[in-house]
Amino acid sequence: MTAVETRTLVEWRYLRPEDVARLKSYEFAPRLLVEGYLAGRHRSPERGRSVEFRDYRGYAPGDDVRSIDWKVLARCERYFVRLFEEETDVVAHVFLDSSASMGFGGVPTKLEYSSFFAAALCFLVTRCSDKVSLTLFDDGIRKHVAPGGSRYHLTELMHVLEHNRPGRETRLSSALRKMFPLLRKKGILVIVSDFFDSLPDIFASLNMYLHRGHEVVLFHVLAPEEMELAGSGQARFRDMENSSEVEVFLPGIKKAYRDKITAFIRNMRTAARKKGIEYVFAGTDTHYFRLFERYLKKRGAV
Amino acid sequence: MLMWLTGLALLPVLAHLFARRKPPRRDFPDVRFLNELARQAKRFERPRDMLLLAMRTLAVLFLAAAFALPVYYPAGRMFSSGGAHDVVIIVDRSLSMQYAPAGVRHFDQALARARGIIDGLPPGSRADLVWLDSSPAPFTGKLTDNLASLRNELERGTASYSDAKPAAALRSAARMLTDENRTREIHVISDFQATNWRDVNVRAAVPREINVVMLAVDRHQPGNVAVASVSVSPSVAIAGENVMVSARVVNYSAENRSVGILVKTGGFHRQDELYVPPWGEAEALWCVTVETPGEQPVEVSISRDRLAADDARFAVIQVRRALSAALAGKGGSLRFVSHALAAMHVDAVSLDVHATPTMQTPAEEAADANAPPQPFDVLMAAGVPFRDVSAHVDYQGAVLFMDETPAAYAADASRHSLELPEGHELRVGGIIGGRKWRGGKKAEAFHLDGVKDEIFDVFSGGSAGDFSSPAIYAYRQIEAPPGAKVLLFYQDDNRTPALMRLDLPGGRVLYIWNISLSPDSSDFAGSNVFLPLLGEIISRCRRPMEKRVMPPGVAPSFILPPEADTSAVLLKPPYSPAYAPRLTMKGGGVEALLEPMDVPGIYTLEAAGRPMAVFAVNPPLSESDLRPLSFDGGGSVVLVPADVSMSALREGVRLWPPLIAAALALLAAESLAAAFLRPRQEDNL
Repeated sequence: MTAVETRTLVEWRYLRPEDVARLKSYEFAPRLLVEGYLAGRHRSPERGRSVEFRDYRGYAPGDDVRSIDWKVLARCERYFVRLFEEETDVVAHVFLDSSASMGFGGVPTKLEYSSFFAAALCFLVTRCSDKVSLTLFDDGIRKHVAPGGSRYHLTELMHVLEHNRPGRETRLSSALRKMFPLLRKKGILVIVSDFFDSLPDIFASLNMYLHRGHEVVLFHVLAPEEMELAGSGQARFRDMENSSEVEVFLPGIKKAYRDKITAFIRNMRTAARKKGIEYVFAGTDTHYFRLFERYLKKRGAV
Repeated sequence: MLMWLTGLALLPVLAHLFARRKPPRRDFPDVRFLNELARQAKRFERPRDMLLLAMRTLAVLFLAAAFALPVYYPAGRMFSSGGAHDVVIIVDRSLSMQYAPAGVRHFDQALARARGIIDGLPPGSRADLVWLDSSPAPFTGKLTDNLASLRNELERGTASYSDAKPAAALRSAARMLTDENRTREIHVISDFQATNWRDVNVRAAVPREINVVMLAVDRHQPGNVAVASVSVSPSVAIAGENVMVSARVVNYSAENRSVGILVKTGGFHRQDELYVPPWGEAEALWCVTVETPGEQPVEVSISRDRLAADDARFAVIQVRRALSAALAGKGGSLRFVSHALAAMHVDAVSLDVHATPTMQTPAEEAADANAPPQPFDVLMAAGVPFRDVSAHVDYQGAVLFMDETPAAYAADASRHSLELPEGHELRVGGIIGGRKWRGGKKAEAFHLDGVKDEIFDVFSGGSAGDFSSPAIYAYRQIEAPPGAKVLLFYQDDNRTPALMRLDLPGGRVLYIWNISLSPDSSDFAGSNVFLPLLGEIISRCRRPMEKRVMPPGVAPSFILPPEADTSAVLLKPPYSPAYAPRLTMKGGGVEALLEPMDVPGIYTLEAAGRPMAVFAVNPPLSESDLRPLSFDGGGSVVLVPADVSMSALREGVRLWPPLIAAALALLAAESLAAAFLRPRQEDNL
């Protein structure tokens, strides 16, 4: 066992003890029913064994004779099989944008902020005996941790988050396409990113997940410094992802830039709503707990 | 020098380039939006940078140029300020110089400039003055150092109403500048009207050694509306006849003009409104009935504008009691003609053909040789040798009737020809057809195809008769002499002329009438077309009046009629008191010699209060178009704008103060632009 693994949970950078204490009052509840192999707290559309009666159907050869309702047989001399709701666990797939642009911002950077949020999310999911996977991506898949719900699994996730660093360009659409074959079981797809990629490509990639029945939640993380350009006079900006430079006269473009970034957020929100995707805007100057409150309140889970 | 200036011009460019601070570099997550905005902003920034660069460059150039202490000579360096000069000043005083765009006439501006030239002459200079009008002449005729006399002449100078002859004025000035040892200059002060100056070749009139300075008065784009012409038709009217008075108004400006136009003649007064298009013209027409014999002035005027001298124009209608006709010859035709003339109230006088020179004794011929021929409007001749008769009659038009076989023609039958005035010859043949009572057959109707003449205008409506109605039984076969215009002809194989017109020297006209008026040969005299046709011919044979409409500056004379009281002869000019003209004896009569008529208007010559003659003086039309010529004489001919003073012309204009001021202004503007231009553009994005 490595030194990292021997540390207790409360020592992790992105999951501080005071946050853990506060997160215990939250519950991560999916909006949709998800399927799962393990019976759990979440109802599944698969009818199975449980105490919750759902319906009758006619007996067919091959059915377990134990499921025949004998009382009905006694009353109407016909064979009916009792169907029950089956409870299953939730799998949450967390996609964390680890491109170079996520390294932008003051304290915290967008990546740090997103990591705090992802850590808390993983904690919440595992605390509810559900499973969570974590995928770090930039222009490709940098790291993927398969779904798991154990304490050890959570420790591994914290370890991955702690050692994550900003990488190269954002290619969310590419990452989604690559991960699709691995996420066969439907669940909740949580994407935390600044979404500086082609919006049509992103939503085209999300179509596959939506078709499979995944619930998709987009957390759009932006720093205040990129919402509102600061400074005056002439300025040179270097793209953190492709190193291209542009020189602008700040007083001349501030308002226009603000309009453009606002339009970008509005386009994201509109496109997400059209697809039935949850969209949450996250400014790094807002505590990520507020995101949970905002999101879970919307879902009626708080 | 140019190299240095170029080097200096590079300084601000380099300063502009190096003054650009390298802006701080910032890492940014995504610059796609910034790229888009930068592309948009560059569309504005590039011109702004170029503007700043241009202002800086110009400022430095101006400063550098100012250090060279430049002086600008509007007329070049040919006008040195030192040394004595021989100068001739030509001052335009033509009618157009009366144009007063801002209350001050161009002529007054010209006088002021002339005084300035005289005052600015170096000591020892000599000068003279030439007034530029229709007959330019020098003031003294030779150069004088008595400049005070020139100043006095300028004080007395008045504008004229005539046009200008610039070439004559230049030649007159050049003739005085003969001393090759002195600096010779001609200063022309004018509005340089294109109509007067277009064809002037300065160098053809003035030798190259003489400097010519064209000093323009205020040459802003002028506008003028003028009465361009007034005409009366007929100019010689018969009492009771309708006279058409027409006036043409021209707009020499780029705007539409609405002018009130007033006509006054006799008791007829009428005012109308006339719309004249830009650079176009409009015509007004009035019908006036003249009742009283005599000479009647016509005045057409429009509302006054800044050039009032051409806002009125004049004409004269000569009203006569009746037309006069002389009848020469005998035969049936003249009998019908005399009846027709009486019906038309034409004063007809029958000439005794036996008293013609060819039939007089030599003593009688000698006695009549000095007598002036009796004037008539029309001469009607039939059966007489026309050349002999017409030589002793003063007529404007004549009608020669080709009657059927008169004795005079019979005598000439061997040649079958008839001599006309001025060597014209009429070939005459036999008779076609026969007498009515001998079963003569009606000839073909007259044919008018292809014949267009104003005498047939009256028949166009059909109410004045039809040429196909009269029956013709016999007519003479003739050939049209060279130069004659056939107006009517018979529809036979030869297209025999029935009526011809022959234009004679002196504006006279001869009609050859080959339609028998005898009832034996035709019933034309009884047809409804005879009287209108004869009337139209006679009305075109009116004697023209003496020339009574003239340009300014003409000094006409007038021979008073014998019955006039020569003891109290007065000429009444417009706007000034009447004066008694000089009278001389001429040809047994009294001739009044009038002084030049300079002012446009109506001049009336009276004898004992009775009007004898009316003269109309009109402004020259060429003066109404005020557009100046873009004058470029080349060489030592320089056009100096109106706002350049004479001292500036000689000593030059110091340019460094305005250059320094311009450089400072540019630098201030550049600072303001650099400070304020950028933030202002924020809202544009």
